[in-house]
Amino acid sequence: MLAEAHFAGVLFAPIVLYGIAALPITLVLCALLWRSGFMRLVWHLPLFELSLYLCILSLLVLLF
Amino acid sequence: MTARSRSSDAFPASARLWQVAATALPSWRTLSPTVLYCARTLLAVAIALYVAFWLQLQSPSSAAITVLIVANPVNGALLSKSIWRLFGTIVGAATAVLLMAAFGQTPLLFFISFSLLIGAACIVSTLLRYFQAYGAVLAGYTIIIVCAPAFADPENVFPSAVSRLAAVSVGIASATLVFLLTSIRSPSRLSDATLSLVRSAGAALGGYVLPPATGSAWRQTGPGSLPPDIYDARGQLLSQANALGEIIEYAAADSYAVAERADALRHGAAGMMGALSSLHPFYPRLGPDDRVAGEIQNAIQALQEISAADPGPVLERLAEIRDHLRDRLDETQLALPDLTRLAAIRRVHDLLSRLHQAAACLIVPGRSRRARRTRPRLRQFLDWPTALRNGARGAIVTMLACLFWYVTQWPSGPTLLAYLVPAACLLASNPSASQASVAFATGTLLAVPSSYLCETLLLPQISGFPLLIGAFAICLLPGIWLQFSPRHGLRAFGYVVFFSAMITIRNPVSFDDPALINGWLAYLVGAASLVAVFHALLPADPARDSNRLSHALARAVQRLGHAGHLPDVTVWEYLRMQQVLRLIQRMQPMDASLGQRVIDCALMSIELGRDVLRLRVLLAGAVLEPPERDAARDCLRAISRLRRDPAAAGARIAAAATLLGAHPVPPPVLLHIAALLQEMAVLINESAGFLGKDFEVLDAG
Repeated sequence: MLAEAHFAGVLFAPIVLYGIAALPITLVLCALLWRSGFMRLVWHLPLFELSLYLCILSLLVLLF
Repeated sequence: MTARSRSSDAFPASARLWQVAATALPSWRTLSPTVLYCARTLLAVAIALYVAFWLQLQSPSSAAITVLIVANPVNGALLSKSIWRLFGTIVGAATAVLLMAAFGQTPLLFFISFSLLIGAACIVSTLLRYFQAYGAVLAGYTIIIVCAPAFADPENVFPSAVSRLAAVSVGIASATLVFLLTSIRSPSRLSDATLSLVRSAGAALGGYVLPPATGSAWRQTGPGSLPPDIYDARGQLLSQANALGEIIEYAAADSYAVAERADALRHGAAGMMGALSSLHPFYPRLGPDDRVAGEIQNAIQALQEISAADPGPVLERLAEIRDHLRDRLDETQLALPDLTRLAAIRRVHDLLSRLHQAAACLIVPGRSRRARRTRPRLRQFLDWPTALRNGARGAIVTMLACLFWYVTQWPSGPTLLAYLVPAACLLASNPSASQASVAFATGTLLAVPSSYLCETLLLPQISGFPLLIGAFAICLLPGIWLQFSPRHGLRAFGYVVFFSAMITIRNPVSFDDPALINGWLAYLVGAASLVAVFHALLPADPARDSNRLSHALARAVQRLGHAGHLPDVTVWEYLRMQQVLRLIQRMQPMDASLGQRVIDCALMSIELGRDVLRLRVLLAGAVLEPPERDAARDCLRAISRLRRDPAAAGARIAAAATLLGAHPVPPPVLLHIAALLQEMAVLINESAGFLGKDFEVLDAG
């Protein structure tokens, strides 16, 4: 797991960095899922996208 | 009277009372959207406050205020506003830190720089649209919100900036999560809006170009001569087409599929708005015995049957009718050349083409990327004079407020600045800012007694977070309920935002009566100043703005007569229609019949501009004899000097039309040009006053 980061003297908890890193990954995945037509099968899109984001965030915390 | 008869009388009375109550109170179906919206907003406020307290943020109420500002029943609008609020806060907070670092010890330089930045923010905000404009103005007034706690100790500016950013982020996250997770998938607003516009516009335009029913005919006698129901329909349709732009933006923010089609949708909306510009008195209408009338009727019928699920057959039928009209046009050109009928059929063919193209862009899904690359880029109209006026007003009011605080050394001066500057910036780009300032100030004044009751009666009685939220909910509920009411919306918005700002909730809550009362006084002075600002400081002048827009329209037509770059007709038309929409807005306080005449002339000028573009395209591709080509080019030269003497230009163009139409064996393109020139002459002659450089709106009566 990453240690806390600092930028210009401001300390950031690692979860903030993981959270920021998970965002573009989620956006790209959502775009791919839209293109493939999978999103049209989803019942509640915001709930799905939030769940996807949390899964990617958890994966990043697990792997890095 | 016996006991039995007494009881039998009482029962019908209560039943009658119940009946009256049931009819007087609105039904659950009407109330439920507002009730659900209030519940979701209060839930988001509760979560935002809880998280803000848990994170021990400096100003937890900023999180609650953020929720109240970004909350919107339309998910796309909520997302769009949230994104731009976050962006504006980052830019504003960073600018505040830089400003305090540079001028922390020199107040006057700080005030000057701050005023200039506020002016710049107001200028940018006026030039942008939708929530991008909000983001720009937020970036400006975030500076005072971040710097206000740091004036006494400039080193605190960075923690203040980070705290503000954190509070706004918490509020946005809370509002977004609650609203998106509790949203129910409902029929698409965008789909309903586009279908409604296509059907209504088709019906209005088709009804307009068709021959009038027996006994209801009216003759064109000049601008302002249309029947009142056509003016009403035109106003509604233009508002609908304009509102479609906003719906497209919000739907694109909410849905990836719509974002892919957004460019096509915008072109469709622009095309539909351009088609609506044909609703003016001098649009040539078909004769009652015209064979083409039946085909137009079929086209209108087809448009009424269009649906989002399967638009293909309707669009194919429209295309067939359009192609039939083109064949009729060719037949008419080859047969007895009647220039007026030729012009009428050509315009109807053109109108059908535009309706078909707009409907296809709006309704057919899955437009290809290749089509996107071939579509010209639509330009937004930039109203620089209004932007500069708003910027100047914003800078002046900021400077005056800062100097007032500097001279009086009033301890609550930062509170005054933190109210007056944001309120003045937010209302700057409102079309009726002086009225809006009164509504906004009234809402703020209502928040004062409400916050007094909350601080002195409710908060001392409570302990624990649930009771705190309960107290908040009681006070906020009226404002949230009325937030989207057309009549009370702005008042309610001012109430909820500044009630939350006045309530100084911290953990633990502390009660400081002198500071509270000083704060309320600052808000009272700020509210009074806000009203004074928009009435006294560079107030909007509808007549001056209307003149400016009218002259801009005439100049745009004149420029088309010059040789040079040929603009795309959709892009040119869209820019002009944006100017017409602003003209309609500016002329609303004036006499209705004056407004109708001026708008008729404005739409005729757009029709004239389209004709000039068409003429230039025809001349570029046609093979004409030198005398005929010179006559046509002479017309373009007349257009390039249109504003000097519109009547003379009209006469020259009419003479050229007669000359070209008198050709013994005219080729089709020559007849086409002659019909076009005849129409142009009619449009110029009937709107000569509007097109002249001395036109004054108030003299058009």
